[in-house]
Amino acid sequence: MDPSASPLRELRADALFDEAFLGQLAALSLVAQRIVSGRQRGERKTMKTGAGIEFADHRAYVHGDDIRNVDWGALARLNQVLVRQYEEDEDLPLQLVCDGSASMGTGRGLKYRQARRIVAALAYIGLANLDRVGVSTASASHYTSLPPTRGRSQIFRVLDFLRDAPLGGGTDIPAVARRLVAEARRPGITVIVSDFYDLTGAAKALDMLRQRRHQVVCVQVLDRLEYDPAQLSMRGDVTLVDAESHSRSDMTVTDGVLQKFYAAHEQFCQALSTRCRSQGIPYFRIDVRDDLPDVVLRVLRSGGVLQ
Amino acid sequence: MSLLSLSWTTLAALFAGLALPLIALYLLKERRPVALVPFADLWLKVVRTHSARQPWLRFRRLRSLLWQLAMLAGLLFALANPSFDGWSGQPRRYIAVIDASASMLAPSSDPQRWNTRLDEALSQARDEASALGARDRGALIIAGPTVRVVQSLGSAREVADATRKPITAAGAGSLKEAISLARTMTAKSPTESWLRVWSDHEPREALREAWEGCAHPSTTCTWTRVGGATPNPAITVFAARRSRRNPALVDLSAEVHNFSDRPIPLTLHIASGKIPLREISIELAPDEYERVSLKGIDASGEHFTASIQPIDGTPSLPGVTYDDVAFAVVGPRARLRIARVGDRPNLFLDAVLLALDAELELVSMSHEQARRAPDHLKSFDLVVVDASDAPAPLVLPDTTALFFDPYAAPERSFPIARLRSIRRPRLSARPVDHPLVKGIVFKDVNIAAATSFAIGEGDRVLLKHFDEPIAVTRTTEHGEWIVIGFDPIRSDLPLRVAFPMLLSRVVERLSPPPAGVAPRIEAGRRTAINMRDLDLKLQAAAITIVDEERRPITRATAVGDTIEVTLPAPGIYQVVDGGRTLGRLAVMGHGRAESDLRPAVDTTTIDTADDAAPDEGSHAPWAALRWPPFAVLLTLIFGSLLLESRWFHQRRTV
Repeated sequence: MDPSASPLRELRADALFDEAFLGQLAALSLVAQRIVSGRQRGERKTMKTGAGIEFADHRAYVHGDDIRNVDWGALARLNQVLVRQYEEDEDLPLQLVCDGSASMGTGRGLKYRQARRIVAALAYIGLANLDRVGVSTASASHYTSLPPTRGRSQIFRVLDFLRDAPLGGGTDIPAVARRLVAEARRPGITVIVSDFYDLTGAAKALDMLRQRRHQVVCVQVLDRLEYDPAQLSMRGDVTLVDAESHSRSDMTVTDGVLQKFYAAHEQFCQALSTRCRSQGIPYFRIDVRDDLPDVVLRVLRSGGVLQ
Repeated sequence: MSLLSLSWTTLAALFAGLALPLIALYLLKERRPVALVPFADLWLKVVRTHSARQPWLRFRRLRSLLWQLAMLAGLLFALANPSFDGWSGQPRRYIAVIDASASMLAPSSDPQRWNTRLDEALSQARDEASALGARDRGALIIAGPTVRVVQSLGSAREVADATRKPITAAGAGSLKEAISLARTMTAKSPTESWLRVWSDHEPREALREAWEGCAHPSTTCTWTRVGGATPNPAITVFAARRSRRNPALVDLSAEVHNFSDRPIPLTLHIASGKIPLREISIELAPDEYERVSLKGIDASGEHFTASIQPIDGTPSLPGVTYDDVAFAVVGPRARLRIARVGDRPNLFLDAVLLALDAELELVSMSHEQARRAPDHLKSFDLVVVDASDAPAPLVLPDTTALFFDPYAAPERSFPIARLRSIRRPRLSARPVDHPLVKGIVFKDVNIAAATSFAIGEGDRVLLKHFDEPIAVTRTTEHGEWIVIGFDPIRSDLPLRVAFPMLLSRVVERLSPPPAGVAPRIEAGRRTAINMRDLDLKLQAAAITIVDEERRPITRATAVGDTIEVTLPAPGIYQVVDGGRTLGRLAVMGHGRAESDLRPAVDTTTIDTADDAAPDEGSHAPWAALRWPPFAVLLTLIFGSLLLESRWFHQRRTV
């Protein structure tokens, strides 16, 4: 793909999607093109049978079946009324979910920024690959979505959508999963970019999506300054305010407490990773300071986001 | 145990006052810094586990507060300078005597630290008293115009507190009496004693008699001179009196002294009340004085003020101000009470009496009224009995009297016998040696008729018709009778100069001479005052002295014509008897000694054993602080506070 022909040239850089980011997107699209080279549009097969050309299977005729699909040869040979089934050729939608809960806004909003940039990059690559790409941001208090769309030029809408995406509310990944399941006409690839700061909800959501045949990819965006004792400058008696519930808790923060918090955080992330891997869900742990192209390429290479 | 610097009540109040802010600061500190975290549930999970294992963390803040409160209590306790009986050794006795004469108001030796010499002395006494032990006893005696024991034998803290009481200095100090009292206090002490005297005067003069008692071997006597060399011009004398020649005029005298080592130009202002009288520029050489006498000043007021001020364009006068102003009074002019007894108007007589240059009170009454009130006539200085044709007997007042033609009714009787009636007498031109008529010319006075008298022993002739006396004087038990043997109305005498001159001589003869200079009264010093010296006549035994705003100052009981009063401050005072002002007193604020402020700073311990000259000795024979471990305790407390503060903030830094 010729980068000069990229619609990114027409984009206006801002704080979220600055010139460097837009340049990275252009480069990423070229790299992604190589990764998916040789594949044609619409070659992604679904497990459904339908109105395709390639024969898939036979089944018994039932009342109401199209008479044109009756395999007359089989009837003649086997004296059974069978109906031919064909593989339905369709492209799987790529659904990108960006966590818009308030916990993503702590630490000067670096997590939310990184998450939106990852989503934007994946969306651009998907659109460049002529996939149907839907984007949504969600929290317990809001849910906004950009319906699945196709075509490289739709990147304008995607970026505008992400730029204006609200931030606030609690992390409620199960609710997001329910919305995705309800809205999706057919399951697709669902990339969830979040900090997954939900002790029990994340597992439930992943189970739900898997049950509905969604191919889920988890991208956990974290800020090291928020959990690493070496980075935290917090000591002494502190009132902790939860960014999502605004609940206040007085506590005395000591080095021991910090180390225990770090261990607990690592344990939490490890549990999430183990859960994902046990279900075959690609899991990526991203820091807000990680280089964006590396992050995207890691996701692309190992995640099956692009077929 | 006792506290030397603070009382237990003060200590408790201080602790409460400082602990409350400390607790308040802790409560404010409880407003912890707020940290916004994305995943508080995970924090709570961790902290609950952590706190469960270390419950003492919950009490850490309270423990810190209690620690700091304990440090505060310890600090205050140390500052209160506790002392235990066992530490103090034998009880000692400390007597501080401070001169409170007016000169102690002069600048101190270190004006940056103390305003006046009195402040300097009080401050030093306070420092020394604060160093006394728990069992030591001290006293503070102020030698002002009167000796005042501000603090009798008490604890060190009580003596130190006494030095903070308001103490005024005025007049001359009574150091001798104060030292005698202090000596008595120390003499009763079986243990070590220290008699301290602060004054800005040389010790010699006061020492001679008062210091003898300091010979006790266990008593240390120290005399400290306070104050620096201060140049000071002063009014040392200011007096006023009525002029001998004319009591309506006043003679003033002032003396201005330069108590310094450099020439000082100044202006002497003299005023009567608020009316300026004179302004005299003077330049005084070092130690020079100048007397200014003003005679015959026509001043309506009875009190005068002299003040010295810098000449225009020069800075203010050096030294103290209490001797830059002085007051003087003159007594009221004597007032004669004259009664004219007559049944007819006598304009000639009234006009002459009222025209006299004298303070007169003229009362007219008839012969009948006079006869009915003989006692009333006694209250008059002079009774003029006019001629009367009525045959009734004349009144004979028990006071000095002037009779005109007592035999106008021939049948009337009169103590001076009548010789005969003379028609158209001719007054002899020969001079008569009598002060009433000496130099007065009666020649050619036309008289219609007169009576000649048969004079007795002691009678003196004033006027004669040839050799027959027609005017005589007789000295009686109650005064003097002046008897004129003719009626002036029936002569042309009232038209002559001789008539008012004769009456003027009579009035002058009755008027007392003006008083001399009023006695000097110094502020704060008990002074006996003879009221006659002030031209005052006391009507009652008890009088009141009020100031110019008529605020009562003191009461005094007269013994004869003398009263004894102590007036606190310089100024003009009124002598009041039953609401009526009798006269005024002028009080000087100082003596000459209080104006000479030049003694140098020195501290001298008098070795009373050999009565030798003052030796340079120890300023403080007793140690200032006899239990230094308190310094260690203070250091430990401060150190603990610093460590606690460091720990506390280390834990709570966010």
